Amino acid sequence: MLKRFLLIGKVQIGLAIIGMFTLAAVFGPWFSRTVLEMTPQQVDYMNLTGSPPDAEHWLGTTSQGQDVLAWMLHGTRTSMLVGFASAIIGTVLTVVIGAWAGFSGGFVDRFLNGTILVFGNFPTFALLFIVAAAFQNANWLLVSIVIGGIEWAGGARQIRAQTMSLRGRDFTTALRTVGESRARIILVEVMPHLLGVISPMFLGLIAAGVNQQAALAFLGIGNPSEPSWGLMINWAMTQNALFRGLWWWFIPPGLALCLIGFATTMVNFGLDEITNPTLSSKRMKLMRIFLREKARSTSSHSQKELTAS
Amino acid sequence: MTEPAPLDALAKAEPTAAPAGEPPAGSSPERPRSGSRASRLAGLVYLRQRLTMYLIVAFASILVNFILPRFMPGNPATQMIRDITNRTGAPPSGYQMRLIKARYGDPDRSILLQFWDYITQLAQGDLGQSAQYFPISVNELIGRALPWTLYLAIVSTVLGWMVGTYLGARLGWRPGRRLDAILTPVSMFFSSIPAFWLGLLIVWYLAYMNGWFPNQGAYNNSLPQNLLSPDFLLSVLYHGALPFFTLIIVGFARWLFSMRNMMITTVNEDYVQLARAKGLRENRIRNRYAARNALLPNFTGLAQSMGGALTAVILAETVFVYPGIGSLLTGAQAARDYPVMQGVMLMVIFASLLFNFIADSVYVLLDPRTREVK
Amino acid sequence: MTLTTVPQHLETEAEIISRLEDSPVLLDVRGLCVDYVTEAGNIRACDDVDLTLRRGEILGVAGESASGKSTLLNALGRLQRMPAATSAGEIRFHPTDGTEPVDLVGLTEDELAAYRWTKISVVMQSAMASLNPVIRLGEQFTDVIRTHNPRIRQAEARAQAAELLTMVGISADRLTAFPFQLSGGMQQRALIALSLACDPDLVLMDEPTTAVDVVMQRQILDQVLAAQERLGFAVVFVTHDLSLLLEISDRIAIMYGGKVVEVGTAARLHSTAKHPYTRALRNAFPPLSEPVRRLSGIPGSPPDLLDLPPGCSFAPRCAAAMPICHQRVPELRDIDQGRSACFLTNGELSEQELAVQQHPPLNGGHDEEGEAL
Repeated sequence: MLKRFLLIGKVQIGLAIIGMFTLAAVFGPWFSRTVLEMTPQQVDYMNLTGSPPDAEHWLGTTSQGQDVLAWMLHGTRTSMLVGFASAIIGTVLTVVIGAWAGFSGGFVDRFLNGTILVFGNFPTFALLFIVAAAFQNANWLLVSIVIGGIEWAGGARQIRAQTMSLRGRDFTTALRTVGESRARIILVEVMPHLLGVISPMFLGLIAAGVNQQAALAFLGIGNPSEPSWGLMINWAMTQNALFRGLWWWFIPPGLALCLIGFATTMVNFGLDEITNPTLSSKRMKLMRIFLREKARSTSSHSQKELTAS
Repeated sequence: MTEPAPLDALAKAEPTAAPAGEPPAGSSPERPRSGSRASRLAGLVYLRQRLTMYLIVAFASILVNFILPRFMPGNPATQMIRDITNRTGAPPSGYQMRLIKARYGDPDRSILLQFWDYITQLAQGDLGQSAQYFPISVNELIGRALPWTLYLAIVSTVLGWMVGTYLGARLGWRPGRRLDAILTPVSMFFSSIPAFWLGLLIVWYLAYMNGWFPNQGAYNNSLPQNLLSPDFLLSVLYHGALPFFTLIIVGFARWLFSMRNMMITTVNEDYVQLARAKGLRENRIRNRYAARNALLPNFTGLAQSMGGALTAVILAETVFVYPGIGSLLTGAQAARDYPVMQGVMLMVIFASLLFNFIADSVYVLLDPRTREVK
Repeated sequence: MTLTTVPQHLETEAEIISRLEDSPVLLDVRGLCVDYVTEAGNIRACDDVDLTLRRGEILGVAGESASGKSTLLNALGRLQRMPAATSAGEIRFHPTDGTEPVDLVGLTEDELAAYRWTKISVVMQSAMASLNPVIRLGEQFTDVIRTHNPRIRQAEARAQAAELLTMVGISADRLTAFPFQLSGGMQQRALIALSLACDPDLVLMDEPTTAVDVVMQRQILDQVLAAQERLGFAVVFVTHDLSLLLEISDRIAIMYGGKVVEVGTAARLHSTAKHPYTRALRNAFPPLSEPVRRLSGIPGSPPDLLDLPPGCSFAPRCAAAMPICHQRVPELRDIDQGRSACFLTNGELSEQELAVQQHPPLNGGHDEEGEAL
């Protein structure tokens, strides 16, 4: 299962992109400090008005003479931090509430299901905006908590449904009659079956976290002392980067956002192909090859018949 | 199978999209159903459940709106009174002062009474007054901006949905062809582009570099605002071109691939096979038997996406300096104008809930299975 | 008119044989191969299948799951879905109007349209999954009626649909119902009525009664037989339930591992089955009409089509297997009253060879001795 999953081209591309950004988030600031010997705040007085990429500033400088690559590397850390933190918070909530609801049934289930429905209909960004505006300069953790705290509902609904069907299956009933505790059954026996639901959700939450944070920072509600992709776009916009021709300042953060979203979509597509084989592009390709070869062999066959007669 | 609900087929056919909330599962399929009147009633029951839920969501967001300023660092009420004093040169009147305190926390009143005041004001449709443009009411500011936002949001979402769904149905009917191999990954990329970033690129290229389109605003300012004047309407369309383009590019893709995948799954369903065996015309099989069913999850998705669509519109508006909610919001944010920010966000939440409810109602019409009695 | 009566006239075996011999050929299947294209390699689910179906014949096809019987049925109707594809062979359809026979395998989808439903219709296994859940029952009847005969008006088509439903004992007012509003048995009967909408020459039935309870199964079978007697269409009836086939079929083909291993009349297979697998299958299902007795399952499991044994694919599970069964694939040969693909009965080996095989000169550890029933 895992091997087949990893063999899909879409999954490989997606995971490679996510892995690359994760590496950049972990080692980027260190790299920028020790190798590039630059920080986002540092101003290069030789390139004050923004200069295009060159050997010294690989991605050029901003209109304030700051290094864009250093900004990108630090920004990746913040953005990915928000992405992963909100994904972890959201996933934990999803699994706990979804599995709890699915496994308990009765009143608890009805109550939790109602909660899931309510949260599922909350417009995340609106709430995030209100919270962030209320707590001025919301830091990455607060943003993650709000994103993770609202975005869990969609997954929880699926987990609940899955758990409910697993609960009815023979092996869980058997375990319960043997006297296994409910928590243990959920954790050890049921969880592995739910990975197919949890992993796409986790990836989706990373993308959602990164994007929402970027949107917030773009509107200028984020923490201005935390460099992030959204903040870069915001500054580039307010400084009229594009209109002054400083595209190297504006393009990279947006492209990074596109790539993160693209990567998660790719991986989720790959997952769909595993769980729903009719979607498998590999199979479609095999089928096309098979039919083409068959058509070729029958046409050569009939030609032979023609020449024979 | 523990639950042989008639919705099973639908649930099975929904690997990508979540079902429309609570699955309105019917009872055992062994019992023949009563007439259409009962099922219409059942549809109403379902809608009532949804409505109750939206009301809870609305109440919860009001609660959040009420609580947050009271936990905010610093005292917003005092700060606002100071702001207004600075701006107008005189402290607000006693009545104004009471209203502000009712809204943002009054240390002298119990929290429950404060909540009661807050709710009664809201119930009268009063969102307070802007701190920035004091004494203009928030209602008036929103009233001016909301139509523009709704126009952008509804038209761009519906157009994007139609384009994406149509293309997805075509691709999913015959997957694996060259067009599919190109368009599907490309649309995956498109769906991940942040609207505000693409908007800036488009403004820069099409408006600033080439001057083909106006770079800001919603209409030609030199024309009188008259909805009956063709010139004015044309200028509205002309000014809307770039925002629409941006929002559709960003928006159509997710419908494309969700519809494509649903279509591939549906084409493999027995009922489509049977339609094929019946020798019906290909158009009919594709549209009436396959796409009709594959459409249902996409429709649910449309309902659930309206909140997100409003967000994208708000972000895009700030780029195009479109006089809608988004511009109002960013302006208010810059000036720390809490009444406007909160009012706008409440409006956004209410609007997306309203859209959800409308979509639910249409869904009941589209999927007869939701009319099942519980 | 409601068809609920059992056919009054029960034919003897000889009558069936002579009726079939007099009847012209309807479908002639030659060397049909169907492959499933998978990442692990191509799986041949139907291997070199030959069948002849005559007009008005009820041909049963029996076998375990994964024997290729449903794959065969879908191939006959040109209804394969994605990983399955016909890779060789032909399906010659002889139209009842006396025109030249056509090879269905070679037709394009457009050319096939002329044959679909008016000549060949299907009843699929799950009625709930086969009826479109969001289209009213009536429309699912009238669209096919009007597609194949555009001159019929909507009202007439509706009347026809009502008549068809009444025939299977469903009241005509159910035409306005959605499929999920019918009970499981009603859905299945509606599907059968639907299959008769354009007066087909051949109805392909894929386990049409497995999804319903035994009482309903009986009722549905009676209706199918009554309708068949009245309208005279031929049926290919696929199921794993051999005893059911023994009751309703004229002839039965037994499939194993993608191959037809035995063909014969129902009576002959009941009394003197020539293939050990047929006997095993017969003993695994209780006949509907016989008193309860002990049933024996078939030991072992169906073969892995990706990794078939070199000889007869049933040999690993066969109590009567001889050394040669593990080396060579037995041919499906004509025998007295049918065909068989077992070395013991198909006449491929001479009597001496058989004797040698059954009593190997060397005591090589094989214990087939005395197993020949």
